[in-house]
Amino acid sequence: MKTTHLIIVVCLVFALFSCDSKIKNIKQSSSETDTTEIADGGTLVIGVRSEPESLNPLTALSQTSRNIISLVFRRLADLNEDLTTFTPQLAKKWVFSSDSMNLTFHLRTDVLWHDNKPFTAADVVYSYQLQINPNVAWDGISYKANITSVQAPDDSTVVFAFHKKSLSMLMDAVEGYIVPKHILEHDPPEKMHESHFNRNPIGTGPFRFLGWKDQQTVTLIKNISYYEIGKPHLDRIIFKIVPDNLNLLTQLKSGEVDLVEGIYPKDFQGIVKNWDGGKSSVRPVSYMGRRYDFIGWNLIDPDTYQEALQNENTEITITDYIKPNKFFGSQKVRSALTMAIDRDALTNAVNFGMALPMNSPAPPILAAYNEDANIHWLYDPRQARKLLSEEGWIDSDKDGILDKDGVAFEFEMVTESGNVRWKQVATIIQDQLGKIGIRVTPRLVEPALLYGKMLPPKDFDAVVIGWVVGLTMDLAPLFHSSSFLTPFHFTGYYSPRYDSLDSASKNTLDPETAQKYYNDIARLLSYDLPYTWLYYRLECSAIHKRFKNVMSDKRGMYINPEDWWIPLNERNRTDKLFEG
Amino acid sequence: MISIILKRALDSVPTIIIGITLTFLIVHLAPGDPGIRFLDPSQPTEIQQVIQKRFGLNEPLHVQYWNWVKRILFHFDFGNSFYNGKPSSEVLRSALLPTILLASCALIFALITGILLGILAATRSNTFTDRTITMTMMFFFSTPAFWLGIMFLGVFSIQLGWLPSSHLTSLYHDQLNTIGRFTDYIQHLLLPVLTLGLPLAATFFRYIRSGVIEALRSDYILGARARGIGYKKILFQYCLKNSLLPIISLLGVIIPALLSGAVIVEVIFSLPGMGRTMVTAVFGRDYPIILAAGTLAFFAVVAGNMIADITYSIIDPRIRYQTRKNS
Amino acid sequence: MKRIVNIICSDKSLYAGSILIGIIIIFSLTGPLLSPYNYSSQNLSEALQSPSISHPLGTDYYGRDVLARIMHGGQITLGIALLATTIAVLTGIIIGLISAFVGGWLDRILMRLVDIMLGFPKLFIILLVIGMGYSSIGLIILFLAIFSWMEIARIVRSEVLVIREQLYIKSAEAIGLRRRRIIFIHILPNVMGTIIVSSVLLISTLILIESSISFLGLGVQPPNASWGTILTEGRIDPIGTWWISVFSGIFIIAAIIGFNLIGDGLRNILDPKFTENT
Repeated sequence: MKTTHLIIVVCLVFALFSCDSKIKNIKQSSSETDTTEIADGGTLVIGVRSEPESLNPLTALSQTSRNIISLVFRRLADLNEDLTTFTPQLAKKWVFSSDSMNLTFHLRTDVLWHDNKPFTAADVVYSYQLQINPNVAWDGISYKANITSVQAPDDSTVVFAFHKKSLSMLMDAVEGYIVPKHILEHDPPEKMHESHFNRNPIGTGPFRFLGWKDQQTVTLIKNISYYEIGKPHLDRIIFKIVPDNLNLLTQLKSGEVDLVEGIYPKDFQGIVKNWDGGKSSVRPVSYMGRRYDFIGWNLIDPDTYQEALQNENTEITITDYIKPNKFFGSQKVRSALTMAIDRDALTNAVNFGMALPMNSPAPPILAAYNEDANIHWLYDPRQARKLLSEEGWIDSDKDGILDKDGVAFEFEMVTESGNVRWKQVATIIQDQLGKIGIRVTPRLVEPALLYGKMLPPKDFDAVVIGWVVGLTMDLAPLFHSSSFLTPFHFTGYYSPRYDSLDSASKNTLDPETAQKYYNDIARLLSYDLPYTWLYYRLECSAIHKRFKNVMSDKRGMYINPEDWWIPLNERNRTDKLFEG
Repeated sequence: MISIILKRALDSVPTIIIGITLTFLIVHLAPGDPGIRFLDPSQPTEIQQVIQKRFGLNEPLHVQYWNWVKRILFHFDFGNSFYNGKPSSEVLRSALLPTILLASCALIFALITGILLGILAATRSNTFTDRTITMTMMFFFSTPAFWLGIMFLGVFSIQLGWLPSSHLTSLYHDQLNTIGRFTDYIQHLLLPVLTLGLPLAATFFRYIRSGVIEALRSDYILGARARGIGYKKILFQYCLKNSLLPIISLLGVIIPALLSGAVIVEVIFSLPGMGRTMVTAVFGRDYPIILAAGTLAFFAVVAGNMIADITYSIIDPRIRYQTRKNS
Repeated sequence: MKRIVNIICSDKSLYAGSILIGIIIIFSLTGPLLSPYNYSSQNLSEALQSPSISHPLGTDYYGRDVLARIMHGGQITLGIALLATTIAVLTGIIIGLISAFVGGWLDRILMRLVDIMLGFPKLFIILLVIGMGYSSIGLIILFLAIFSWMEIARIVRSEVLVIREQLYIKSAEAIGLRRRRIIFIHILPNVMGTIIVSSVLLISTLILIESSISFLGLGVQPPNASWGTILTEGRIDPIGTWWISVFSGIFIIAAIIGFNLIGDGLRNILDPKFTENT
């Protein structure tokens, strides 16, 4: 009962990976243009909610860890704002071979590791070997699926060889930070998650790791031998761990913390109001993020699925798993449910304006996004009731709840406990569906239980959660039949038409043809509604206004921290105490 | 004396064994998969097995249990955190200090406040002072720690901005001079200690007040006064000593209460202590940390009971290792 | 009835506590019948209004009336605490009686069990059990009860042992009265006072623990709400939405104070040693 090895380029990942690079066309994000001399020195305090679990790029998962790693480590090349082209980083330049099956990187020769050992091609090769080692369990392993080998003909050249041509070869090659061979070669790969390196990282980035106080702070200091001369400007970056949202916000306002991400929209509105063009010291920053939230419907009958799973017969086909769910098996019911939910009101109630409507799985940050391709189900409870009665759901026993063949339309809507936003969504949906005679019981479930024991065996009715989107349009892990048995394909959606569109979009090398397939996919899924997409979130961050040159876009807040600086006359107590 | 300690220690062995076994069972029988957070939709399914194997979760329960016990007994190794791969002992060591600091400050504060106010109220029994103190203490006795904490935080940190809202020290703590460091600690600890200490002080107050009143009226104190022994001496030497007895026997109950209270206080004030470590571990399904912290908590409680018994038998020789009557 | 009133009036704290609790109970039970708002009906356009005439205690994030929710929350909070206390007290009485009357190895095992359970850091274990499974009202009641019966059992056991040594029970046994009769007619009424005092105090402890669990995010599931969960909802922004957490917090404290006062008062009446102190 093992699925075939999935060849997945990039997909919805649990957490976003952040990019950091110097963009050639630097946009001035602060309103005033700085003509003054850039001053070095100063301390940036970043408030984070959870302790990083590891500062090793191969084992880190949380957003906090990834942000820290993006300051300590470098890649071969870094993604630009268009999310398709790259800027050189550890590699000076790269060329494809004439048959496009090999990609050669020419590396910088002036790069030192933070322990002053030189960076060479051997580090790149070793990093690749660790990345594809299943015992390391690197979360980006799928990027490397199309790569056959990585070789280093000399100290400053690396050659990547590929199985087949694709649009994402460059991205596949450069994804993943380069780690030092001379340190990690002493650690057995299967012990990587307990390695000393996880808490004492050595990289090639603009900041080097200084210290880590448990549950309190992680401190980075300026890398004086960074290969870009004159950078970074800041002396010190402290990640302060403040789990409580209220404390975090208080400290942002009092100046104890300079930068906070993931602010609740309501609090963000307050910051925007106070800022009002520079009246307060905390500057609100918002940008299109990578997250969207949705309702996932269980399209199939859980019991039938379970029985089919127990069946040892290897001849079993996908249709043996599928018996339409008594509620959500029908497209008409799903569209009625979608129309019965006032998604605009819901979006505003939980996001306070900091979200965009969403109708299909194509995220607005990607080139593949095309709103015209989507089918829009507008709020219309009357039509919803009509559709439901056409499907046989009527209130025959006059108890206020729709029923059909003696089965009342009542179900559980599970969501992750501890997530305030999703809890609010579920509570609102309960009320709205209640108005058309459907009884919804929200249930808050602990994450390990939800993702571990409810969604993978498709043992649920409906779920409210969110995804973080990857950098290319790939929905196969969620909807393609090849991933039908994997944990994240929990809706049980099966559509041969989707399967063929998906493969067609991946097999073409022409971006325009690919776009046509993406449009078809968006139309198909927004009609079939395995999910009811709720909204696409805008990220809400805030940073103290004394930091200049701060850039942010859909790649996040950490695009150019090595360019940030603080004018001398705006230094605060923390800056001064650390200098003195 | 030594035999008492030994006997009590032996007695507590089953408590600890049953306690940690139960914790082990709760943790491992709970539905859900702690490995899931290490997975990504795009990862091949082999990775899932690698993760399971890494944490030893693919073995039968009794094998896991036996391995766990064996490691503790022979290597004193509670396993490494699922979350960050650090040895549990290291995680707990760094978390223990803030909690001990917080709890002992709160305990000292509560004892001093409780005793002083208790005596004050008892000696002025049924006056306005007594009623005011008793009412205030009733309020603190009945107020949930989190409510008190939120209010303190809201007023003193958020509205007035007088005191820091989180952590034990400032970021620039190491840059300060000795006096600066000391004040830094006090500023950070003040609100948490009050939050944890006030309800406890109210508990002590109730015992002290009624104990002292009772003692003041007892025959032997009346006799002592008749013989011309000074009022202060009577109050502090006889009455207080008598009324302290129930408090000492309370120690066994106070330690778990302090631990529970520390959970809430550390969450509110973002302190890097045991309580917060436990909450994070429970929500993150970090089995080794939960188990190590649980074991430690059981030891603390048992030790508290032992200390209470021993102190009790030293102060009041009439009682030599009996089951304390708890009411 | 008149006797009860007399008893209540005889002690100041009992009197104050009874009135407080009486008001809270009447408020929670009859309030929802009189209120124009339902605790769960949302009106997103009226979200987060501060107290006004139409919403005396304001509205929450979904535009629900906070007053209606606190009234409903009272039923849930008090319901949980009372049910859990009842279960705990019954368990405690049964185990205490068994322990005292059967004696021998069973007594030793049961009392060891009591020791062990008392040694559990309560909040930690409840956090563990509820945090790792589902959170439902039933489970919360069950686990609160499981970790609360021990003190009652201890009290019952020791009281029974003391009373049994007393002459009249001995003579009752001597004249051959059946054990069950002795328990119900002679012993239980004597122990009842102590039991009532500790159960009233237990109620306030359980309200406290339940609200702490809610504070940690493991409380009652929506749209139901206990006072603790209402308070926690307001904690996201304690200044901007102060009315959500302040009013629910006042009710928690009032209820706990009320039960504590009743407990104190009852103890004063039942245990004359304490009477003169207040």
